[in-house]
Amino acid sequence: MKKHNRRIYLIIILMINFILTGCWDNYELDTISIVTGLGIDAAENDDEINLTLQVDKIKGDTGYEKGDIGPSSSFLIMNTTDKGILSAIDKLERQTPRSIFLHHNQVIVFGKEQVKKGIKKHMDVFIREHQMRMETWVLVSDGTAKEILSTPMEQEENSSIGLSKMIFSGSRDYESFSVKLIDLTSRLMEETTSPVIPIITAKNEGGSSEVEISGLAILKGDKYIGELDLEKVRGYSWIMGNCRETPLDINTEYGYIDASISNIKLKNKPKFGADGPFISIDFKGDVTIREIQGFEGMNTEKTFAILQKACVEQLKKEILDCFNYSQDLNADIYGFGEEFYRRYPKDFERMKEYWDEIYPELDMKIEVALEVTDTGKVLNSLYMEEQSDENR
Amino acid sequence: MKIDNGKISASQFMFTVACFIQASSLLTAFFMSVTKQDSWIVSIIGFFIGMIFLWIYTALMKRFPNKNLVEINDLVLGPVIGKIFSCMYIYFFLTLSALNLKDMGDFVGMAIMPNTPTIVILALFMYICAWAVRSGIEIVTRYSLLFTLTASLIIIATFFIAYNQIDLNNFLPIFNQPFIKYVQGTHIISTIPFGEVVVFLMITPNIEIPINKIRKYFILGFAIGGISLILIVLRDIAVLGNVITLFTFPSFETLRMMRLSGTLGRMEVLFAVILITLMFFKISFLYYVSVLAISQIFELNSYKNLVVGVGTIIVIYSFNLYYSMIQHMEYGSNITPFQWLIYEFLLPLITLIVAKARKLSSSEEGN
Repeated sequence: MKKHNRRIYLIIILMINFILTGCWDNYELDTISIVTGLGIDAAENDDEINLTLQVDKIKGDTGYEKGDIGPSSSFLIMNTTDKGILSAIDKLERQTPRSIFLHHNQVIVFGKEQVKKGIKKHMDVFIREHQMRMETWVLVSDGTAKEILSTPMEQEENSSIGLSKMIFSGSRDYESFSVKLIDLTSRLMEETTSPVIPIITAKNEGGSSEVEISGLAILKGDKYIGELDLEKVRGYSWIMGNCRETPLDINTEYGYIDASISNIKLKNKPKFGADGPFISIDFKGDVTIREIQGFEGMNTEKTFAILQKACVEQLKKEILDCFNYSQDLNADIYGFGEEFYRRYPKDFERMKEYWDEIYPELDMKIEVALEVTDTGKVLNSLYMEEQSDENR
Repeated sequence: MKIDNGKISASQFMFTVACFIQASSLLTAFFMSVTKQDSWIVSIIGFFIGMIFLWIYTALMKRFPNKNLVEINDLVLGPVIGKIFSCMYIYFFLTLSALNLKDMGDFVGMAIMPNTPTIVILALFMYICAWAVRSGIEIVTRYSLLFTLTASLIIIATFFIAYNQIDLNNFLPIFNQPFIKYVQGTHIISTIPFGEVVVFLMITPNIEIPINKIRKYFILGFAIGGISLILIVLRDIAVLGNVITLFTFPSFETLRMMRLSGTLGRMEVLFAVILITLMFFKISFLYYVSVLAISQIFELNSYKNLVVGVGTIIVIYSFNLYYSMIQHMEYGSNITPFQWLIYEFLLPLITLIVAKARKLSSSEEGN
């Protein structure tokens, strides 16, 4: 009997242990400020940064009285200037009644001015601090980070969550916009690669403000040197293998075609030719026709032949446009240097020092093979000539 | 004279070995920081070198099926040198338990409870381990099957969840580092998780397997553990790429990256629970072995009185091992492998050679 009792006591003590471990440093929901967005801007002083935190307001305990709270008041903005990120957060902590909780941070936004100065020294804290996660999105603001974080969104109560959803849905077409902290860190660690980060622009039109993704910022080392506009981003995405199903609109002399390219098979290989290294790109894909305007009086076969040729040319043009632009900037945004290192590590050791001179001279050989596989619900267009008319 | 009369079956032994090695999956950073994207090659070579160690251990097991390591030392090397050898092993067992305990504490501190003092976590943890150890070998090894299955399922499941983030280009370039780095990496992995199975020599008398089958089960268990470890290394490299060298717990960082669409993310606490469970298994086994070895050397009738004392020593010892994570990593990649090689390879080899030379054996077939 006594032994039996002892066992029960032991079990109770153990159970209490399990429950109490979490009590040591407990955070209740009403004692923390949940940070959803973090922005870093250049401060007046060169050493310092201007930190912006977007903190989600935790609403009242019931979900019923939602009426009065408009979307603009669902988050608050905290802002301060200090030397480091965490010291700035400490400074902010003294200004608020709640402790700042970084685990649920969705986006990190760098202001353009700060990116021009360099971001590498501020990356350390994002890797080191336990509260930060490697899957957080990284963005560059066209203006300041504060401007982006304080712009409310119509559909989302919290604009940072809105931003992360925007990137997520944007990456269905091509994934170039989905730059996570881990991707950025990894590209900063590669010696020859120029990282790219999506740019967000805040627009102020007649009272209602909105944000949109407007391109990719190109960084050389860790400093901003230029950007790709949306058309060049597409050219960039083609050879990065980031495309899933991408629309392509072509104007030919016979009419206008809107096609989409899917089922892309891409081989992207660095090679050594007779006159130095070059990149060989082998691109295969299926064309789906989405819309045809014009092509009056032409039969299907002829249209398809023109269409295919036009698509191939358009693709080549887009790819080369973007590539030449990056060569002008001398920024290896594709990571071709890294690609050489991976395939020919021994040769690259010699090339590495001169990569800045090699890259602008680098050749690109593109092979594009496209097939028209899907024409939608119809075979012919309204005003196209039917194929075997006279036999009927 | 046997201190613990508990018996474990063949399959239980196999899963115990497997689980013991799987529990080391947290400690991949030691060689990952040395060999980077080629760590998987190193772990495969290390696995086969571990097989050589295994051959020595099973040869000893076959020769002395009803004796544990301390008894073998006494028998083969005589009471004086044998005792010195056994004391060295006890140092090894205690250090290993303390190191693993400290790793577990660091991991919990990092992943789940950052502000809780480590001593609280470790003391509570050791309390449960002590409970298991007091109940004997049967209890310590009973859940090995369950733990191994759960861990294997998790490893396979994480492969599918991480599929989107896997980039096979991360493995390139292959074999582009100085040769000595591969030697160092292989050395680390073959001593730090794989060679640690030397502790199983302590429970030879408790294993109920025919002598000629013992090698088969040992190797099977070793293979399950080793393959899961290699899979984890492959997964981590494929997901993290060149960033892998930055982290203290690469596999945990990989798990933090995983998410199923937007809804099911941040599952790492679930994985952390599995990892802690595995660590519990490993530490309680090491703890059991240390207690058993100490009581054996003093020829006690029962080891139960020592459990609490040794547990306290291990907890305090673990606080004095190293001051910081950086020192730990430095030791783990550069110094500890050489130290461990003595206990895992040299001493058993000497024992085996002397036993062969003196034609000593306690099994009927050996005579």
